[in-house]
Amino acid sequence: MNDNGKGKATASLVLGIISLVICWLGMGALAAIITGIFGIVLSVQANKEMAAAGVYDNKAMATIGLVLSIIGLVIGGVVFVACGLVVGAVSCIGCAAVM
Amino acid sequence: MLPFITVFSRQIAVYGLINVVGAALGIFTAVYLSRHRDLTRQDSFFASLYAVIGFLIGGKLLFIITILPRLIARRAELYFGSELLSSLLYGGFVFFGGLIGGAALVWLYCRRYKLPALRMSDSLSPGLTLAHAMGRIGCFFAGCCFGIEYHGGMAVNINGVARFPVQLLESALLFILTGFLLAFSRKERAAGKLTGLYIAIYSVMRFCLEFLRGDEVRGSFLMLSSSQWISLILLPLGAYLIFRPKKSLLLK
Repeated sequence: MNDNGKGKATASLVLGIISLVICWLGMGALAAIITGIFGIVLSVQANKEMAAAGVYDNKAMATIGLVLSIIGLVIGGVVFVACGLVVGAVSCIGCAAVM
Repeated sequence: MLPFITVFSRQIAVYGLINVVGAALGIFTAVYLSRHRDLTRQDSFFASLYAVIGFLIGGKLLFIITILPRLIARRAELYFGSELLSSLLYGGFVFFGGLIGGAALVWLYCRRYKLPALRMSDSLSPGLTLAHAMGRIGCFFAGCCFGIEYHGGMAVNINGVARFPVQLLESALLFILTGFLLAFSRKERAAGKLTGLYIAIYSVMRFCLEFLRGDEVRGSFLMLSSSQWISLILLPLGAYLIFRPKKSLLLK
């Protein structure tokens, strides 16, 4: 049954909230990136379904879900993505292989 | 180097911060350019988000592939909570993997919603180079993607070794490339030409810059790095997009 994107908008909102809440909690930042990604994709799909149906009842929910998912993804990315962290581990991989 | 800054008692990775700013600028540029290509701002914005997602996934996957032999050798250390797994998850991206991943997701988005993929990629390319230029500044602050040992002017100390600031050189070249692509986009061009220019120019640029890279932990094969091999593969694609006949059946 076509719900004009309501289900996906709702899921996007939920995932966006989860992403924003857990992005501050240690390993949660990585989970925030993952939930943020799914939240963004679901919001985009919801928007597209609404546009196709010409019914925009859930647009606000989809938009809020998108915004929260983006914020969760951004904060998770800023907190955790550190190119230099892995250099130490990987260079040690080379040392271990030689030994 | 300055890998972290402290904000309200929390450590923030400078690399991540700069990349977020770069991504935001790139997305803004893409949305701005969409008006020249009969694309809605919403579609450009959504495609940009898909590009970012694809970049994260593709960049991480290719990084893992390049270090796979060494990961297999240390597979006993890959368990939940291990330091190696943490380092693997939280760092390490290869740009070309991100480019391929981003391009794949943008193509899927365009295919799904029946949008002109090449026109979309043309609107995204200048923003991508701008974001990439910012990302290389982030690499400089993080101390990753460093250059060969070098003791001349502008050498930087990374982990006690004087090195060539290849990150800043690439960043400067990417800013120049961004300006060139923006200037080139002012006039109506065949779909895909801007994308082809970006791919061709960046492939040559990256191939040459790889000789100045000193982070040899990345993958290599037959004396060329993985990025150089990818450059050699992408260069003909860029050339094809630039010179293809207008009524080419291969790409729309």
